[in-house]
Parts: sequence; structure tokens; C-alpha cells
Amino acid sequence: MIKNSLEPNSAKSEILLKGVLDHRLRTPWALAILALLIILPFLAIELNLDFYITLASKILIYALIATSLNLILGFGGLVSFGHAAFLGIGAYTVGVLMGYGITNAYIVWFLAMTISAFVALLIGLVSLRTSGVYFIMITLSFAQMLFYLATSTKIYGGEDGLALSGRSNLGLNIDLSRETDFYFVVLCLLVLVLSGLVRLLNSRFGHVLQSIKENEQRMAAIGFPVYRYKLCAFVISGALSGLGGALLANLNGFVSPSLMQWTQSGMILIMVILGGVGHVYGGLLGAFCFLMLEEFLGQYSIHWQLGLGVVMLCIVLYLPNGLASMISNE
Amino acid sequence: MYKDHPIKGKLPILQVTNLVKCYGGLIATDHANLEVHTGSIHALIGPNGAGKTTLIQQISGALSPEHGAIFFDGVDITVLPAFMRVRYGLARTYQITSIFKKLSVVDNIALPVMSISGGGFNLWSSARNDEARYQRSREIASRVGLGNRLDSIAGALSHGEQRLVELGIALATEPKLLLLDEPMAGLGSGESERMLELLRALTPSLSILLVEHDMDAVFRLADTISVLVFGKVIASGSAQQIKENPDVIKAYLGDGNEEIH
Repeated sequence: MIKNSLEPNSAKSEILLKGVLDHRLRTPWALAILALLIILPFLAIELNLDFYITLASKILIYALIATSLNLILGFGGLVSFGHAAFLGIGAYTVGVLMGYGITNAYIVWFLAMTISAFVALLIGLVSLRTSGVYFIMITLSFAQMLFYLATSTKIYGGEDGLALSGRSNLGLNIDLSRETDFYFVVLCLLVLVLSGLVRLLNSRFGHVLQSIKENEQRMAAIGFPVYRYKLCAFVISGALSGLGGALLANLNGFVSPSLMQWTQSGMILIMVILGGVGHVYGGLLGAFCFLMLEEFLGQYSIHWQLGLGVVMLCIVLYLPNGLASMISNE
Repeated sequence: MYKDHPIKGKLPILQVTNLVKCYGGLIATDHANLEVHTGSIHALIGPNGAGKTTLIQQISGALSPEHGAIFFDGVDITVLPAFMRVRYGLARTYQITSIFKKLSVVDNIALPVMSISGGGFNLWSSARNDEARYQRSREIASRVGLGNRLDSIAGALSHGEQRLVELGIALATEPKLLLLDEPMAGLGSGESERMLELLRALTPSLSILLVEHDMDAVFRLADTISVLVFGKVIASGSAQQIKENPDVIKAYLGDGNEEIH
């Protein structure tokens, strides 16, 4: 139609043609990873390496938490430096309720998610009015406030934290205190969260959220109440982190303010960057890579973070879109 | 929050009264008054730095004025947030192309279609099942001349085509008034011609307020022209009236900023 238009780079547009709004779990990859994760505990028992089931559970829990951060960071463009707050609230919900004898997992985990969602709503209402560096700093300060609140609340352990009398009770002949049972429950929840994430990203809400990341100004100019969309995503992300926190409390049998410290927020952030910002598998790969490095480099030196730094540097230089970009060509 | 204007229906589509906007000590909009008649093309011209874009920003809701009022279709929209103004039928384009560069043309235009049809808070059902919305998006894309680029990624299109995406996005919100910030910016002569025809074909079913530097285009396209100098509207009238207005000649030629043809 337009005579003197330049021809678009058709090869490039072919590659991009699938569009960036749509996400899939990529069935072959999903099945391969799932199969591996299912046989893992049996393999560990066979090889008398039971300890690694606990490590695997820890990795999956952090994968869930990192995935929840990736929802707002990778798909909504919101760099939250305070996600440990929601994790901590989830964990404390389990710890405090256990002190009152409430151990039913359905009630406790649901409450952990609800309370985290509510706190995320309050934090989001304020912090989402800002953007960029200010958003990072405000989410960080809210998390630090909760950290100091936990430190100074003596009845719930203060600085020393809270020891749990056991794990939550799920019923259905599942004994969460058995490491294998706990592992499979965590795995199921992670699968649910990942499938839910894909479902959400492909929904209209998901399209709006990703488009806000791409061009927020224009989204407001075509009639989208951008703030409400970001708040909604922030609350969902907070709730999922709360669930992750509840699981973490169960895993460790212990809750302490350090769960809410800024280093914890930083760690989750690093996991997402390592794994792939805006990739469905980013959280999983990032958590796996980070915690494996911690585990195995940590055996050689307490300065294992030096090694992490080198790995981080290599990934930023050679795989700027994170490890997940290796398994997808988007 | 807003009140209906007493004589709705008998008024122009847009009425700006005594609008003031300051940046520190600089007065960017100085008691500006403007009326856009329903169904007309109204051009806003003025030397560089006259505050044209600032005025557009205030009308669209991206900036809030210190004083004055903006009436749109008889409703006071002065304090409404930008996204609400879109629902009343106000759409804008940007001087610097502001589109979704990573998305296809259809996806770009499907977003504003969703904005007015609703359902953005649906977190579950697949957005791709919404055939009516994509159908509407393809129609609008074809209307602005992008019928052969539907599945191309917007960022890979030529500048001229990206300007058309820009227009398509604004049109998809089904506006009563289009605010166009330099729609011809960076277009070749053939592309400008095409854009001119496109804009003319849009009226009188909708009204247009445009800022434009291409004087030739302005004089050919606009029913009414307003001249903005130092944030003040110094003259409004037909092309002929504006060309002969001594204040306008002084503002353009006297300052030596730009030449009026």
C-alpha cells in the first residue's frame, strides 16, 4: 500500500511470528523434567542418598517461590526486592498456628496464602504507585519492616525464631514427615503452579500484563487501568510466595526472621535472573542451579558465593536471557 | 467527580477553557482556550516549544493542568485519569511511535479492542479463543492499510507502517475524538499522502485534533486551525484567516523559527 516503505526484515519476523504473548510448557521438556523428578527419590533411596530428597524438596520449594516472583518480574516488569516478606509471612503462619495446635495443612496453607495475599495487597497499594528504582526500594523497605517486626516479636521467638513441633497434617494417608511423601506433595504443588502460570499468561489477563511490561504508557492511553492489573498480579505472586514460605517452614521445622531478610529477597531475585526472566521454567532452573551450587561449592569453601559470582557472570555474558533460553528459541 | 454540562449536545466535542500548566517557572500552557467542533479536523500549529504536545498531554490525561477545565462531549473530564477518558471516546497517538514492538500487528490492535469490550481480568480462559476480537482487530488493521501485514511483528515493520499501527491502535478504541501528535512525522511524501487520505476518510464520523509541522498537510486537511505561541492560543480560524492573521505572521516570521508557506 505504501510505496516507499522499506521492506521489513522478513526472516526476523518469521522467527518472531509466533508472538511473545503465548507460552507453553513444551510437552517433551515438561515430561522429561517431570519423569526425572518422579524417579529421583526412588533413585536416591536405592543409592542410600536419602539426604538428597530433602535437598530436592528445598529446590522445588524455591522453584515455586522464584516462579511466583517471575510472574511479576518476568511477565509484568515489576522488580520486587521484597519477596522474602511474603515467604516469611507464609512460614510464620505455619509456625504460629502450630503453636496453637492447628496443623491441618489445608487450613494452614490456605491461611498462609490468604494472609500473604492480603499483605501483598497492602504493600502493592503503596509501592505500585512508583516505578523503577523507587519500586525496588519501597518493596525492599516493606520487607525490612516486616523483618524487624518479626525480630522484635518476643512471643513468637523474636530473633531466635520458632521451632515447629512437626510438619503439617495433610490426611489422605500422606505423612508429610516422611521425606518422600513431602517431596511428592511439593512436586504436585509446583506442577500446579507452573500449569497455572501458563494458563494465566495465555489468558486475557496474561496478555494485558505482558503488554504492560512492553509499553505501560500506551496501555494506559488505550484505556487499561494499569495500576489495578499490576496490583492483581502482585497479589497473586505474593500469595504463591506465601505458599512457598509455608512449605519451607514445614521442610526446615523452623521459622526465623532471617527468612524475611533482604538477602533472601536477593537470592530469589538471583534465581530468577539465573534461570531466565520471563521464561516459564526460569524459576525452576534458577532455583536448581543456585541451590546446587550452594550445596556442592559450599562443601569446598564457605566462600562458595565467589563461585556463584563467576557462574552468574558467565550467564550474564553468554546467556543474557538466563538458562531457560537454552531450552527455548524464543 | 464530574458534572454534566448544562447544555450538552449543543456544544463542540471538545472545549478547553483557561488551561494553565507550569514546569517550575516556565509556563507551558498559558490560559489556553480551544474548541473542536464535532466532525471536524482541527489542527494545532505553532513554533517549536510553543507547548503543543503539553496541551495534547493534558487533554489526553497524561498530565494534569494547574488551572482551567476540559469539557469532552459535554462532560468535565479535567480530573479523570487517562484510562477513563478513553471510555468516554478520547484516543490519542504519539509523536514518537508508541506501539507494542514485540507483538504482531493483529495483537497490537486486539489490545485496545479488549480494552473497550472488557474481560481483561479473565485469568483463566485462553485469550486466543476470542475470535470476534481478533476479527475486529484484522478489520481495523485492513482499514488503515495493514491488511497484508497482519501477522508481522510490529517492531520489524517500516517506520511508515509503524505509524499506521499507531493510528490503528487509537482507532480500535472507537473514539469520538482522535488526538494526533504529528501523525506525519518522519513519513515520506507517498506515505504522507496516504495518511492524509486516511485521516480525511475518518471524518465526519469522528473528530480530529492534530498537531502537525507539515504546513502543507495542515492547510489541505484542517477545517479549522489554531495557533499556539508560548502556551497561548493567539488565533483560531480557517486556513485563509490564519495565513492572513498579522499576529500569526509575526509569531512565525518575526521570531524566525519556522516559515509559514
